[in-house]
This record gives sequence, structure tokens and C-alpha cells, in this order.
Amino acid sequence: MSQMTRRDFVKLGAVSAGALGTTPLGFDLAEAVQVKRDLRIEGAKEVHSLCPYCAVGCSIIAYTKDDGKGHAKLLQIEGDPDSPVNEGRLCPKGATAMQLAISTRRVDKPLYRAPGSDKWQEISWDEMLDKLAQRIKESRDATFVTTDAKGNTVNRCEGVAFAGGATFSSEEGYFAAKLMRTLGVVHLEQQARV
Amino acid sequence: MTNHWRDIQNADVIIINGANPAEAHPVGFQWFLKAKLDPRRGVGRGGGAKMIHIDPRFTRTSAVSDVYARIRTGTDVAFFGGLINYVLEKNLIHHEYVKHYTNASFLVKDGYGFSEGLFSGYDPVKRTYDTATWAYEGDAPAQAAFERTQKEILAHGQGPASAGAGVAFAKRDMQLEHPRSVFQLLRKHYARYTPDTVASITGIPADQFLEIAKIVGETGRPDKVMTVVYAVGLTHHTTGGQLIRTAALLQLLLGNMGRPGGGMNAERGHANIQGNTDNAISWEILPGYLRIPAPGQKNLNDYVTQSAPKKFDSNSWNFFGTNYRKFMVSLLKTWYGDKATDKNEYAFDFIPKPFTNSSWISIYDQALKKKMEGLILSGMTATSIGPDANQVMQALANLKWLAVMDPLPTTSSEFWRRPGADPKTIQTEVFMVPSTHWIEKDGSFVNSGRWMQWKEAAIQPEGARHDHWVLADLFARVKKLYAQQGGKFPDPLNALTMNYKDPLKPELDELCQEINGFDLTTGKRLATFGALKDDGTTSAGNWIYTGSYPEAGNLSKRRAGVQDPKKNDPTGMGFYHGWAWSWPLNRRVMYNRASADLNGKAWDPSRPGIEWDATEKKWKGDVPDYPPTMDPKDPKRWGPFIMNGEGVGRLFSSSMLDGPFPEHY
Repeated sequence: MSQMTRRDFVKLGAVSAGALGTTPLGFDLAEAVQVKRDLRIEGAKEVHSLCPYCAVGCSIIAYTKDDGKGHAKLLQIEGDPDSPVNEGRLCPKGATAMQLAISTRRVDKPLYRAPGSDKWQEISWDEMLDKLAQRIKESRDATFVTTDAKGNTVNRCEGVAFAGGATFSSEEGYFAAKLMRTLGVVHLEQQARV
Repeated sequence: MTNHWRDIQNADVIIINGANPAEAHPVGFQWFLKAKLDPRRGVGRGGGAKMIHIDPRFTRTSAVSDVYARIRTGTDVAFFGGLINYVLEKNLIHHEYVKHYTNASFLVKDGYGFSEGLFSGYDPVKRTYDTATWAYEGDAPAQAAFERTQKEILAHGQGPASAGAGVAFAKRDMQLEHPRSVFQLLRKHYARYTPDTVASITGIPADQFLEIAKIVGETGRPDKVMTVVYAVGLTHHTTGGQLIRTAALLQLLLGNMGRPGGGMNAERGHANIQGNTDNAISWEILPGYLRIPAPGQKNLNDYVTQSAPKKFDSNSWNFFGTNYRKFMVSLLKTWYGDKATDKNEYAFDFIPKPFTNSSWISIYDQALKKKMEGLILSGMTATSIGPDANQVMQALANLKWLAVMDPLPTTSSEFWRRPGADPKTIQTEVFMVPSTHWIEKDGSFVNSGRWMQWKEAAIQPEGARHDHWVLADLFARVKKLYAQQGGKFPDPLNALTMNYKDPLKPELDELCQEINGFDLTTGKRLATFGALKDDGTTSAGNWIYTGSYPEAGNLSKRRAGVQDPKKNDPTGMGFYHGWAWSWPLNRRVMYNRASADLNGKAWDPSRPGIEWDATEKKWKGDVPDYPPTMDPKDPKRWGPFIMNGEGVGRLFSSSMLDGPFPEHY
């Protein structure tokens, strides 16, 4: 490397890309600047979402780009600096939430396990929903109590339970409660109990 | 939380009990550290908030706390009870607050007692309490005066009788000297929790306990405030309710409830555990914390009489009790529409009435007894949560069918082929329903601080389907089967409203509006739960969310955040009223009337919650958890704790089945 003074070095900062060519540093700074400027999220769409993990409720920005086939591809998840809750910060779980979103362990087809079987079978959505609806009806009919031993109208389904709900939206949870109560389900619970 | 995450930076003292926020809620923990680094906060002359960590384990939270005390698990009634005794003995309580904002002055009926560890009314055969003696002594003249006023109101055709009809108002001794005043009973009850007793029960050495007590005691001053933060360390006990309640009693005595930097603040564990607790995925409640009806209740009158809080004082708004019927009818109208009318108790009988505790553990218990046939698990793996994984796996093997709705395989979906299991012996039919991720759909999550924040869908699902679409489809198929085959009581299924553009694919936006509620006569969305009626003209899926999505739009989408603090947080208190929306009605600190004195002046002018503006005749600051224009000098003004029957904080309460005062056992 050729001799460089501090003054020379400081001057480099003042020069814009493209004008430099090879510099006293010994490489083309313009090219380095260009590589750094092509951000992975260049031209990406910013979508406002939330962290799926704890109840701090950090706001996140999800960066997506069209993959050319009409699908949005998730590029990056970062904290949202505007939020009065997290001010752009994320913990290790939130910062790596993308891993959850694009996990290859994802189940992408309905699966069915027959009684006594040692494996899953792929099944169509229609078949699965039909079978499951039949089970719900059978169990509801078999365990429904209209009036109790004291003659009180109770209209409860004792043999079907629903457990879960802390990880989906309020709108989904409300809908689940509405449907389950309408079926007469009394064992309606979620993570709050535990 | 009564307060919220960002508010913790307003505290002078932070007690963290049964929680490890440095590791479990690290981003929320920044607000604790900000308090520590803020020279305005702290006891004495300030110098930074004092952080006290009470936990059986020394964790990363302990490492940055000012005091760490190692406590035996489950002994928190003794710990907080010892602090209660200390502040009472040393006269460090916030006198004006205790006198006027708690039930310290209420007189308890003659006949109440506590001896040898048992409260009065114990039935050794049933092993439960008859709580009749845990009642207030009635104030007959006040009650008579109230009933006269009620009759006048009714005579003028204004509104129904109070839910408190038939219950006496309580006599009060404002000097707090009567031996049966709650105050004196409280002193007597906690006099046994001396530092030495606390040490012997909790394992915290007496001198360390006193070091903590000294710090805590300073926050009884009106210009100091303490927050209590807790998590599963306090909730994961069968006595959890009482452990937490003891801390709440302490906070009431110190005047820390309803104030910025104060409150009782649970750090919840999941992205939307708060939202779906509010929406009552819980055996004993309906959306908005209405009670699930009980067998024997034949109609709405029975239901409301047995469920709604009763009015115990003429200055108690008893907001929940007074409006209970309106909330229930509006919910029934939402679910059953035209099939819910004043001729059939608004389809009250469609709602199932549980016989007994039907909570989480009971699901697996019932399965082991072969009484539970099927289970739907949604985004929760039963095997890996709860006290006994082996019990759960045995239970799952006893089910006829199990449906797991989840994006990924779980320990529950795979339980039948886990290492050591013989699938041939497990007859459970298992359905793996691939559901979508949070980021593939919109909808709101509600954080610990009750902030309802909306998220947009960022990517589309590939093979998975949205949970609510699966449920809608299943429901439609079940309904069809009933139409084709007949079966047990299909009436509620046929009556259920599905007012969505596509009933098989409801939009979360449509559900959000349904939760908010409508004026059914105009079709317009409501702006407040104050507009809900019990005559079938209003709907609200969840009254505490009414006002979140008025005609103006979905307020949970708002983003007036820290990009412009001057504009978006003008009081500097961290309210950020224009960011998202919090229940109820966007109030950030609950019970905030208690943040000001009887004249409406902030206890601590440097950290005001709400203050009365005598010129404009309204409360300013946070959104008031109180009627916005109620004059503090009006003799008929309500007490600050508007949701309960007393109108004031309950040091003594007959609502806890195992004792009106927490006791360590």
C-alpha cells in the first residue's frame, strides 16, 4: 500500500461514488460503495406486523418482495422504530421470527392418522373437514345434556373440548368462542389457565 | 396490567415478584431500566428507581436489581402480608387515599371472625365457606334514601332498577376506628406477620426484609409511586389469586393503584393471551368477563341477580353491575340475531351451563375417565404445557379423536408415535390441520398493557388454511349434518348469525366490527359501551372492545408513535393515545380517578394521571376511567373504582372463596 496521510484518508470520505477509481487504499472504493448500497430490502414492501411471541407486543416491519410469480417473499423482519412499546428493538426471539415464518418444518397438507396406525396419511381438505365434522356431531350427540338431574335446562356438550387461543388474533379467538359456545361446549380453555 | 409497559419508566420503586423480565420480556424490560437510570425516580432524593427482585432463583433480573431476596415458593402472602403489617405499624400508608378510595371505613357485620386459621362460616363436611358472615353491616337510612331516589327515577321512566336491589349499603366509620371497620380488622389480621414470622415462612432474613420494607414504605407518600410486576411465579399456584391479591392490598394502602408508575402489572406470556382471555376462551366466562350462566338460572333476571356485582354504597357507580344486563343482551343479539328477542330471554338458554369446574386440567381428567370424546387443540400443544405431560399423553390416547390446528407438528400431534409409545395400542384418530401463521393474516393482538394493535398480512399461505376459515367450514358442515340427519338440539347452530360476505371465509375485519358492536336500528358502529342497551337494539361481541372500531374506523391501526413524541405524547407521561387502542375506551392507566385527590388535583403533579380542569369542567390527561365531566366536588360523585359494587378498592372482599383477607397456609 502506498503512503497515506491522515489528511488523505479524511478526504476519501468527502468524495462520492463513481468519481474515485482506484484510491490510495489500493482498491476501487466506488465498487465497494455500490455493493454496500444494494440493500437486500431495496424496493421491498414494508408491512406492519407484530411479534408472535410474548405479550410485550413489539411492532415489527416485515419486508417482502414479489417473487415474480405473484407471491410475496419474506426477506427480513425488523423492529419498528415508531412503536412506543419497543421503539424498534427486538429480543432474540422477535429478531429471528422470520425463521418461524419460513420454517421448512411447516405442515402444508392435511394429515390423518387412523386408529392404531403408526403413520400419517395425506388426506384432502374436503375429506378431512367432512370426517372431522362427523366426529364433532357424533360426540356432541353422544354427550349432550339438555336438562340436568335437577331438571334445569343446561344445553351443554360435555364430550367435546377446545383448548388454545393465545397465539392467534382476537378476532379469530372471539370467533372460536362464538362457535364453540353455540355447539354447547363447556370445556373451552387456553394458555391463560396454565 | 392495570398500567402498561412504557408506564413502568414512571415508577420510583419496582417490585418484581415471580418474574424474570430481563430474560422473558427483555424489550419490555427497557422501561424498567429507564426508570433505574432516571435521576428523578427513586426514594429519598431520587437518583434512580429502586428495583427489588423477589424470586426463588437468582436470575439476570436479580443481577441488575438493587435488592434480590430469595423467597420460598408460594409464601408470597407472608411476604406481602409482612409489608402490609410494616406500613400499617409505622404509619406509612397514604391516609387520604385509604380513607376515601378503599373500603377501609366499611363496617363488617358482627359475626365475622378469624381464628386458628379459619374464617367464620367454615363447613368442615363440605370443606367450603358459607360467606354470609363476610358481609358488610347494613346502613338502613342510606339504603332507604337510595331506594326512594330509585323509585323517583323509575317513576320518571328513566332506566331499570339497580342490580343492587335487595342488598344493603354498608355502614362506614370514616375515622377508621371502629373495631369492625375493615381497617381495624386488616390491622389485626396482618399483625401476626412480623419480620421474624415473615423470615421463618419465606426464608428471607428479617434484616433483608426490613431493608425492602423501608424502601417500599417510602412509596406511601403521595409524591412517590411503586409498581408491582409479576408473572407465573405468582400465578402458578392453586393459591395464586390470594398471593396476587395480597400485593394489591399493599398497593391500595400505599395509594399506588390508578397512578402512572403504579398498579398491578402482570407480564403475560403470549402474543395474544390477553385478547383471547378478554374474548373468553375460558370455561367460566363469556366475552367481556361476563359469567357463564349456571344451572338453575331460568332467565336473564336470575342470571343477572346471581352474576352482577351489587351496589354497596350510594357513591358507588357499580358500572359493571348496573350495565350487566345490557352487555349480556347485546352479546346474545350479536350471536343469535333475530332469534334472540324479548320473548325468549334473548336466547339465554342457548348458552351452555357448566355443571362444575370445566377448566384445562378437567379436559384431560375427563378424557382419562372416557367422558371426553374429542379435543380440538389450536396453536397450543397440551403435552408440553401444564403440570403433568404423562397424564396428558395418556388422556390423548383415551380420546376418540383429536384435531391439532397448527402450522407445525407438535408434541400433541405426534404423541401417538413418541419414543416409547406403541401406536397399535393407541386408538385415537388424529387430524393434523395445517393452519396459518400470524404473519399470513391480519387481525389484532392485545399485549399485557391492554393495547390492541392491528397487524397486516405480509405473505400468503401456501397449503395451510386460516384457523377461522377452517372453523367456519367445519361449523357449516356440522350444521348441514344436523339438517340431513337430525340430532340433539341444533337450534343454536341454526340461529347463529354469520353476517359475513362469505360465511365460509369471514374476514377478520368483519369480526373486528362485530366485536365492537352496532346500533341495530341504524346499522352504525358504536363508539362506546355506554350506548349499549338491554332492549335488543344494540349488539356487541365484546363490550370492553366497544369503541375500538367506531364509524371513524379501526382505531387499533393507528400509528401516532415515537416518531413525533411532542405531538403524540403531549403530557410526556407515555400515554401515546394515538397509537393503537387500549381497552376500555383507550384509557391507558385503569382506575385513574384514584391518581387525583378529592378535589381532582394530582397526588403527584409531576406525574399526573387525570386532573380536574375546573374552568372547562372536565377531566384532562389520560382518558378518564370515570365520567369525563363528573365534578369531584359533587356530593353524588362516584368513587374511583367504578367496576366493583363498593366503588372503592376492596381491602376486604367476600368475592374470594377462600377468605376475605389473604392468609398464608
